[in-house]
Amino acid sequence: MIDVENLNVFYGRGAQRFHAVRGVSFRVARGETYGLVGESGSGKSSVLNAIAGRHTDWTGSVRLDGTSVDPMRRTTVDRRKIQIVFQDPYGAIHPRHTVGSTIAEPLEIHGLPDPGATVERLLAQVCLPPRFRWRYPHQISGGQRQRVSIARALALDSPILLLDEPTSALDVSVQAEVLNLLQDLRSERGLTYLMVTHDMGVVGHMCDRIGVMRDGQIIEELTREALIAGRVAHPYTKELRETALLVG
Amino acid sequence: MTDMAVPSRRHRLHAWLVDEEVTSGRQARAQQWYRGFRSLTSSPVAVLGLLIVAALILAALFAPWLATHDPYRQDLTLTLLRPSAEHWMGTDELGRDVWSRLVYGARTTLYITILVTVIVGPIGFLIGAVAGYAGGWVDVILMRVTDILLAFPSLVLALAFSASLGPGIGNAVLAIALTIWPPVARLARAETLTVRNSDYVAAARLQGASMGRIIRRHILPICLPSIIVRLTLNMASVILTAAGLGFLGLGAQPPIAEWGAMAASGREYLIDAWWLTTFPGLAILTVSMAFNLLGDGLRDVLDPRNG
Repeated sequence: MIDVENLNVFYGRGAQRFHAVRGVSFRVARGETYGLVGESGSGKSSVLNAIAGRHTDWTGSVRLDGTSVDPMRRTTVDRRKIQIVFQDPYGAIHPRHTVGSTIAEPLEIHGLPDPGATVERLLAQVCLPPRFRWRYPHQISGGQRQRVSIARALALDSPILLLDEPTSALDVSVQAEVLNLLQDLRSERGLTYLMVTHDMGVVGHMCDRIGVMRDGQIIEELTREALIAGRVAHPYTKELRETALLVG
Repeated sequence: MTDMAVPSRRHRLHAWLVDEEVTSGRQARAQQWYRGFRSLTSSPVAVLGLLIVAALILAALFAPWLATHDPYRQDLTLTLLRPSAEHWMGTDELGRDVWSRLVYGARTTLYITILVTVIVGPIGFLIGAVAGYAGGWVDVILMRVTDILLAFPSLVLALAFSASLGPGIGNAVLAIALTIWPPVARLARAETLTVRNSDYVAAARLQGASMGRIIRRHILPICLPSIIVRLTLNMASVILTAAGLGFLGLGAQPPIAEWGAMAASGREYLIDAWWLTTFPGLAILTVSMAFNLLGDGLRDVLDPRNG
């Protein structure tokens, strides 16, 4: 579903040019959840932004559902394949739009029929009551905002969701709810997730396979079973795993 | 205690406006407005500004009923009369009633301020938002033009424009509008820069929203409050510039009642007939101060950081 080969991501120009991601390759199968883990600055968010089309200065090949995408130009078809759920539920939703118009926006952009009914259906799918349609973001909680953000990402029936640390800004109790919601949606709709996180607990809960990133490279790829059993090869992965066990 | 059983219409309306359980888009918008109105009226200074501006609007609307005389009828037997029961603010050098001219002058003042605001708001916002959102060469070109116009004092620039366009209210409006949009554009650009990289704008872009849609749906609601505040505060300087142009003979032409022109024509009789300059001057002072107070109040209400 997602096929990334030799991805290089750059920031800045001239002498300031920074090579943030160096030759990253990985594949995510349909219906799978792939986790990119690593500390901040490891380049995991850069990979996500390049795939999403938010950052355009990259080289290499990114294929979504079989067709490759151009770094500078996205077609409408490309856009409908992929949606992103952001880390910060406060910054991801327009403060002056109601929940309903936030969720309806992608439907309006793509000219889909009957946005009103779709919004109610999407709210139900993310377990929010229909009356939330008319609320403003400042009238709902962080966890509820993140559900709105997920509903918006689902609106176009995109087969791929990019999750940028979707729970790190939430309370622990709310985190579990949002993660379970994401799990349920994946199995109901057959979604493919690419998730970026630094939280090994979340990885163990959500991801089928994991790529460990450090200094812009994937240093190790492993399955969830291998992670849980501790069959890790790279000392850095071992270190990440052990810190997570101590904390969690 | 016992009369709580039957809520009055007023109470029901209030409950509808503060209810947490919003059931329609209309109610959600009404609640936003209601919250804004409540916080605006909680500041006495802003209320004072609002009242004076409302009085100005009412005076302009009902000028024919408020005026005691025909503002244009000259009577050379009644020149330069002191304020009296018959002529509340006296008469001018052509025997016209100052109070009536002042009331009709409110129309001219309001006409100029509204027209300038309606021209300047959209132009300033569009130039600033496009420059801020597009960036690169577009930004450089638009902002250098803005800087050139900003470099001149606005009254001097307005003078130059109305001198070349010819005197008259229409040209005065045009001249003032040309000098007032640059600060609005700067403001819109600054606000746009703060939100163009936000996640919600990124989300809209990833969904495929066009630049026009992002500017209209996402950037406009963020910029609007500060632009409204800026324009309200600007109204004071619009009034002063209009009065200045009128005073110099480049604004409204006689016999149109305009406060600046009235003050100017009374200048020759300042010693003998103080009321000719004093009352229009007081009117200019009061109204521009009221717009300033209202602008300050609106700034507190509309600050997006207040939710």
